[in-house]
Amino acid sequence: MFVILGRVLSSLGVLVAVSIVLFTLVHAIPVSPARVVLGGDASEEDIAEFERDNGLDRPVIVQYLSWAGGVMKGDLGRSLIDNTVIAVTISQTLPVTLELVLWSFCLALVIAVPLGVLSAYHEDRWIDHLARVVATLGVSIPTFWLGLMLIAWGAVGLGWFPAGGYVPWSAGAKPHLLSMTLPSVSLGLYYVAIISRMTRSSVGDVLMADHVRVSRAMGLSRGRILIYVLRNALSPVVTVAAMSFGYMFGWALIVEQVFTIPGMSRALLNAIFRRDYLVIVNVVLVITAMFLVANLIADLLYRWLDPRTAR
Amino acid sequence: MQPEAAPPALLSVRDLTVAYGGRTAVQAVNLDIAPGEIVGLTGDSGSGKSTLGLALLGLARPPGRILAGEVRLSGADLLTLSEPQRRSLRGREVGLIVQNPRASLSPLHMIGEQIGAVLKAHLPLDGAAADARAVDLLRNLGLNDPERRAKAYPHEISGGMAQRVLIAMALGAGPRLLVADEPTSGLDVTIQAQFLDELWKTARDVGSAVLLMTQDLGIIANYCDRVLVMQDGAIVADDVTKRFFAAPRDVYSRTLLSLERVAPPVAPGDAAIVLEARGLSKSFRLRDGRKVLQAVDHADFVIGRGETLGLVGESGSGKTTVGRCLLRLIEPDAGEVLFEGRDMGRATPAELRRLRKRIQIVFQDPLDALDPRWTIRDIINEALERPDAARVSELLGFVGLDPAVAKLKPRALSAGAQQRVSIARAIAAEPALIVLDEPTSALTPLARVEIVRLLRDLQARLGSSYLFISHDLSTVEHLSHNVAVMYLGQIVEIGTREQIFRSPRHPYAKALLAAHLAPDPSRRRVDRIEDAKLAGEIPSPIDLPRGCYLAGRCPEAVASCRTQLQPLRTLRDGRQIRCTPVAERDGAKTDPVAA
Repeated sequence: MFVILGRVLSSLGVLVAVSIVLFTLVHAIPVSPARVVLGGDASEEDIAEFERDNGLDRPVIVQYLSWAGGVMKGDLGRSLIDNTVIAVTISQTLPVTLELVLWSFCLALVIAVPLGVLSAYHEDRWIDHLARVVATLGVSIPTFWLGLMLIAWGAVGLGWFPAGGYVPWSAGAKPHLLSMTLPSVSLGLYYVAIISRMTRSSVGDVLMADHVRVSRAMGLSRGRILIYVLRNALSPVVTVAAMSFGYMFGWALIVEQVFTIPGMSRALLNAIFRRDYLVIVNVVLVITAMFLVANLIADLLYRWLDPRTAR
Repeated sequence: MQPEAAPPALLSVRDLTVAYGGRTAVQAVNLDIAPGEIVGLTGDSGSGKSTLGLALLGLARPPGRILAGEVRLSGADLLTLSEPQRRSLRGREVGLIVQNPRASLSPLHMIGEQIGAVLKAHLPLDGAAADARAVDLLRNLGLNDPERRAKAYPHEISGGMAQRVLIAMALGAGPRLLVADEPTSGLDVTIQAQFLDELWKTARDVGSAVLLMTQDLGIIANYCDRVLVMQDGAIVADDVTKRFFAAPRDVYSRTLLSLERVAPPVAPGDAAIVLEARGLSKSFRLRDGRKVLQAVDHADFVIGRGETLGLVGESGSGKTTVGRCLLRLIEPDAGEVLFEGRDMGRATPAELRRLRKRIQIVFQDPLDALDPRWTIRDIINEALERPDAARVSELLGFVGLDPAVAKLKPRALSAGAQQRVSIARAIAAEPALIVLDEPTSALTPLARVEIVRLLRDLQARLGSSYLFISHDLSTVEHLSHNVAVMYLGQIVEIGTREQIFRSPRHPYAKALLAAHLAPDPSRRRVDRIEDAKLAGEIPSPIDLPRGCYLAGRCPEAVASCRTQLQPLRTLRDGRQIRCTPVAERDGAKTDPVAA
């Protein structure tokens, strides 16, 4: 119990450290947001006034503390550019991105793990070769290009899926799911490759282990042996899956652009172009938090999977 | 009445051939095992024993394939059956135990669950009944609190206990044949003996036949009715145990047994003292900072010029730490090491460097101790004052290697040859003392015999002294003039080889030597009365109790043993033991020699 608490606390610590680094770096960007708001021909006085009004003339540490104080009270602040409430922006965009990532993640796991297990059991047979081809394609096709090809094939060619755009749940489950299918596939294929290769090598190692040989010699059924094998092979797969989950948030930004999905990518890219300091910091922190949560869950999974680490 | 015919064979193997890719590992093997018979199968590493053992269950380790032959188990040919039929025979008709018991259990599943799974696979039991049966089996194996043990994971139990769990699994469904592949490698000698006694008794009780595969001829002499010897995938000898040991007919067994026939080394008379350790102690603080592991506890011994002191004990007894403290590779906490009269502990760094040339060490795993990127020539040159090709050739010649190997890298050599290189490097600086830390443990039996010969030969030629550290009692007997027995960091008995091996006096030394399986079927352990039996397993060396560390397991223990530290006392025949009751019976001098 204390271990879990400790892990949660250390994750929070990481989050604070990231926020400090992020805040400092963002403020090191040479162009002031005042320029963006007031236009290229604004005078130095106007800019100074804007900065004073928005507290940008204070030392970075003071700005950080005042922002962090707000976050503690649940107030993420407002956009410097259009004065929208950042918490609202995030609460509108995060669910969309999260849903995309979750679909891709589930898709990757559902395909990759059985594929990896099958190719380990049938080393150098057709299924193994097929898996290798899928993996090679998966790691070598760029995500944005895969997205474009899927649009060309599935939307323009076959006409089964919308070519882009986001249909909310409120418009019906089927149109919504159809609109999420191609983005999920193009985001997930890379991770199918990574996770299936890891599963194959991990299961392959366990199949060579003494205890599997002994289980065969004891006359256990294939199903029973598969249970032993899976449990023992799972730890490295969990590691890779957790890391994949975190990386997916990064790649999701590109997929959202290709499929014009109103997720966090639009909010983040806009903020970067407009030097909207607080929005950048908040959005990146949310992504960091997702990464940390994924790793925390992976950690707890290890403890459950492997009694040797649960001490 | 009909005349009694020979009983039909339980297992009958004909022309069995197994290959890995193009390499044949088992070549047209024929063998028969009668019901209830215990057959030993021996041979050097790589002779095909394990492959044969697996093939008897219709299995092969990938990429191996069973190419031809038949394996008849009670008449039916296992190899012609379908996979599901074979699977139902495995475990029910024939069981398997392999070496490395802990790796033989799935590390992430509770042991009760794993035993239960085997029982359910062969007996008409439901989940709850199988679990209950698993607990019963654990209880019958003498594990206390079997309900709790059933919920333990393999890393939570000792190696000896894991091996017993595997017996429970292998014999749970009552197979008539048990294939045991090096079942005791990696176990300590006393645990090995306990385990084999149990296996022998269980097999005799239920009438199971056993095929016992081992490189240790001591195990074969002690427990087997018949001996098979394998070499290069073929069976080259098949004889009744007594006849086999009286006159081994194949080259392999003759070589292994040849050491037994050579007279042991003679102690040089009145040797000058090369090294003396007084009150040597070393403890390690464990990671949590509070617990203390007493690795070496007041060790006193002397080594004379040209003499070998054998240091024996089970794992965790502190013998390796003693060796490292002598070279100050580990800094001792207390005590003195006098080397050629000088105190190692007070030596300046420059002196210490000079002294270290006079004391060399040879480690257990030669490949770990040799830099894989260097050639043999570089490795030996480094130990010389200056590079000297002629001297390198000479040293390689000393250790029986062709000087041409000088240009090779360690990996290109066999483990035995690598260990010879380690020894060549050690003798390069003409040391007065060589610490040999389990130098033969990582070697095959044949290589072991050769290294023992080499060490004896070098000692006769160069007059160096050895501290020979080993858990292998046979090797120690072949090399040592004096022997010290260690238990949980203390030397509990030290005397001449004859004193220790013929008539040990300390209860632990007695138990250890009783567990020694000599390759001599006329001295079988199973025929001896068990007077030296100790209870339980070695306790953890952390936070030891006051008094004698053996008191909890000792048949001789009296009340005072539990409270009073036992001093090392000299008996009338000159040996020293750390056991007050035995020393007093002997009428030893009352003043303790050392605290």
